[in-house]
Amino acid sequence: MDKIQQRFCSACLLIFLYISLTLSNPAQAKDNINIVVVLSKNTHPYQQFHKQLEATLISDEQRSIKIFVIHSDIIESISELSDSGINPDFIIAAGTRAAQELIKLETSTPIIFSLLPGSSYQNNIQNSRYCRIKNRCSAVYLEQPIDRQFLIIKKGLPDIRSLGIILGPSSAIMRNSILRAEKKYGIDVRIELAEKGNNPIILADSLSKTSEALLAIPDPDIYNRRTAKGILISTYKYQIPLIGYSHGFVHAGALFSIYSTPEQIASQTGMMLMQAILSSQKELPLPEYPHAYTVEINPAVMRSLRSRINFDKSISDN
Amino acid sequence: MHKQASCLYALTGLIAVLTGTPQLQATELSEDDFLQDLPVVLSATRLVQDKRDAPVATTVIDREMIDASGFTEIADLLRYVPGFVVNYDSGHVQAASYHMLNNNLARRMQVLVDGRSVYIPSLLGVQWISLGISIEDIERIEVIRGPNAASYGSNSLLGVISIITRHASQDKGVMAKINAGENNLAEGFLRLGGGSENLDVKVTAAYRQDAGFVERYDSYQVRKLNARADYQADLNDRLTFYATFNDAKVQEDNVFSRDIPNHPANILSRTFQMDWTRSLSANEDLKFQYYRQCYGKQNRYQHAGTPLFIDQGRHSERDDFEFQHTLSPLDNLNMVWGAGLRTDQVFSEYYLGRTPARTNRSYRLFGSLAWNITASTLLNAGVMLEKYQITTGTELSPMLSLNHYLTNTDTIRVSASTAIRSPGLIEEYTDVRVGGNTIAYDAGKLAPERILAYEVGYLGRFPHYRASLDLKLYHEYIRNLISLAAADAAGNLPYHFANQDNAETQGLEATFSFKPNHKLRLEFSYAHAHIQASDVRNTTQYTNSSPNDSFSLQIIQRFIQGYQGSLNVFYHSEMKQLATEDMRSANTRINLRIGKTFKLAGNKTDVSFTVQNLLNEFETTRLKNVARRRIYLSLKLEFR
Repeated sequence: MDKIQQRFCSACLLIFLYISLTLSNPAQAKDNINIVVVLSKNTHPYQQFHKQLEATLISDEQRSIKIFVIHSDIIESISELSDSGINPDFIIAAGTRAAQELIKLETSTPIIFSLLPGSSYQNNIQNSRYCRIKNRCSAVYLEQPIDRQFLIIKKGLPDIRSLGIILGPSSAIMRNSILRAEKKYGIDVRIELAEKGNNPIILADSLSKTSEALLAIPDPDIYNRRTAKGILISTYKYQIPLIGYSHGFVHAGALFSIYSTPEQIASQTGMMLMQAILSSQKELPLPEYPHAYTVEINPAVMRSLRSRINFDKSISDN
Repeated sequence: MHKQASCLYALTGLIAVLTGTPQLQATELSEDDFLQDLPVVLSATRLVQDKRDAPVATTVIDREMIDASGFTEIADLLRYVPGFVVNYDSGHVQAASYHMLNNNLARRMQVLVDGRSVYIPSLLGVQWISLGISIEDIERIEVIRGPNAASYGSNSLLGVISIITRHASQDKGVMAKINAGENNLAEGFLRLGGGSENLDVKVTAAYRQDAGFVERYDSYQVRKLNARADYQADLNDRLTFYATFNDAKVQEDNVFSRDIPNHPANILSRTFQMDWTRSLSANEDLKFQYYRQCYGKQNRYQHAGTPLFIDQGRHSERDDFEFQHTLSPLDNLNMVWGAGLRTDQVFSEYYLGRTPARTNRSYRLFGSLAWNITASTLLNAGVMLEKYQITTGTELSPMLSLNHYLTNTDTIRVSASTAIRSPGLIEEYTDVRVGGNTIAYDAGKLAPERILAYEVGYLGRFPHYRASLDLKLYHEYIRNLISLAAADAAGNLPYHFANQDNAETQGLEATFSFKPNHKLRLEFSYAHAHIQASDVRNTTQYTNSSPNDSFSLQIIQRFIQGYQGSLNVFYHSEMKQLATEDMRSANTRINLRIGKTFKLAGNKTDVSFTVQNLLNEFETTRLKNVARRRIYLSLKLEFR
């Protein structure tokens, strides 16, 4: 889907939302909706997230949306806003640090936890005291569903018959989803479960020897700045591609990565919020995996491995 | 010397203490794992060119083949390469060469270790026991079968052997290995590796002793120490340091002359190398490389029956700096260009007739491109421009090849390439006098040796059968071969080096690889060669300097419970050994290895039993290099 189509779709959606709002509340006075966006850091990816979120949340004749951004002293800043008469109708948390701070709040404001991994939400947020109240919390995860990764691999690299996957402490939970995808897509999966004391580079070396590609599943104990180099070198040694999960990975030397950009996550978060605003109870929907994603290819690796990817170039599916 | 070695061995322990091994801990996943940048690992200069795109035929000997080979010497591994012949001049001097000119010092090939030429100026060649690395350090060996001066410079006359050691990040923890077997074979390796987020360091210490051949005075002991550090300065800058130390004590004899008694000799070599790679993008790199190599051989003996002491000692130093820019300006175009400067110094009163050094400074400028003219046609073109202080003129070595992909799995290749070998300092300035008699003298300027090679190749991949076939037909012309000329037709003294020979080789080479599953692997290579030669002495000495037929076969089978077996067969037909002009009879050599991998107290352990030369076939030439069957055991422990 190219950028023009993407913009066209966004415009259609906004027109639809506008018409919906107009038709549903023809005689109502304009609502003021206060949104507090809490960024875990004030660095480039979070700024991109914020910028795209602002672009998605547009005021109309029925509603005036005001966005307040916080990126430090989170609890205190929210208290200060309340003290000055600004009570947030919704909070959007961008990132893990913001999420961990916000669940300490004593308010009942609905929060969308975005730009964070599903495991982080499910392990630390979902069952927190704050989120136990029904429909108070929701999330937009950062990682891609396993099914999508297999679908793209199957489509992009149809000759791949075996896929090596290393699972560590954080990612071991993915095992059943992976085994289901293995059956569904007919790709032979070889899983190495990393235990304490295992060196991920050695596991990658052993898997690279017997697999036709290595799929990286996010796990900080397996893939980090210290190990990524050695793991990539192992895959080059056996001339097999590594499929990554971030722009950083593809830049470093993965054949391609499937990931969602902060902008794509922000757009979806904005849509989720608008959906909640439109709903009569202002209820949040269930957590979602990203709808939009990017498949970014490293052309140098593609040439080197002579991989034939059934995409002409990097793609975005919005 | 020993004190120096002891200090370096102590350093090994220190580095081990200072560094650690990445161990697994439970860490919470966060968005940082998705958003963080990672250092560029696959930079343009690290890209391995696919065989389909290579301008000349290539062979890769990987770690699995090395482990299964049953060999303990690096040069022996070249037996897997079609067209290569490996012979022993003595227990510690291996002769490995391609196609012909089977000289004992790989004089006409470029041999690189991690991109550093290991050609020793004072030897006019490569000494395999002095590389400073062990077989355990090697990740893979890439052999370019044919001249490729455009990429690798002088000496890439017959081919290029590129030995790539394991990246420091691959060797974390401690590895200890011992080999012990017949004929006084004893080898020990100790490797320590560790690092931090941006730094990977490893140090290997190794010892080897071997009794050599039974009827020769050629036993040896070698102590090696090497270190490698990979430092990721930032996301785009990578520094790699290499250092090697090699101390060999060898026994020397001369089976042809009673005047030269059996005597000991010491060989000490050291190298230091630093590479800095800056990745400007995924498609563009700058690389700066500097290395220094020092080599010294103490070789003094008393001329038999006389009070005369002969000191054949030699020492050389090489400094080399190279800059290289790799880029991909268009989707279908990859380019590399660069420049280099090298200084060789040779000290040898015996060979050069003087104590001060002879120096040869050289300059080089090179460039090559790989251009996908169409989706199915690749053009490789390159050129090397070299200027040597000791020769006249500037040498130009171009290369051109066209690769056409018939289908996704079939490629044909036609290529023409040239290369030179510049004369060495000892050839150019030779001045040997013994007891007032002139043995060899400098007869004036020598011209470089030059090769022109044509090649037609086919590369087929059969993914359904997990097999591949590589065929090469070639015709090579070598001109101006340098050899020793005698004063008269009877071969009397004094000698001098002269450009006096030409040779022509044509032949066929084939490699077949079959990996039906990850438990079975078969590698087969075959070479047929025919040499025509002409020389001023009409000795046709080169005519049989390569066997007409040779092959190698390796079968690796993994069994259940960690057992693994491998069978290695090598054959060559009758051939002449160039160094002695002896005829070597046809020979078959079989190595058999059985191994088992298991966990011992949680640590990976390998034990193996190897039989070298199972058939006990050996040659009986005047060199008396009788290599009988040998059995050895190996134990390897890895603590990660």
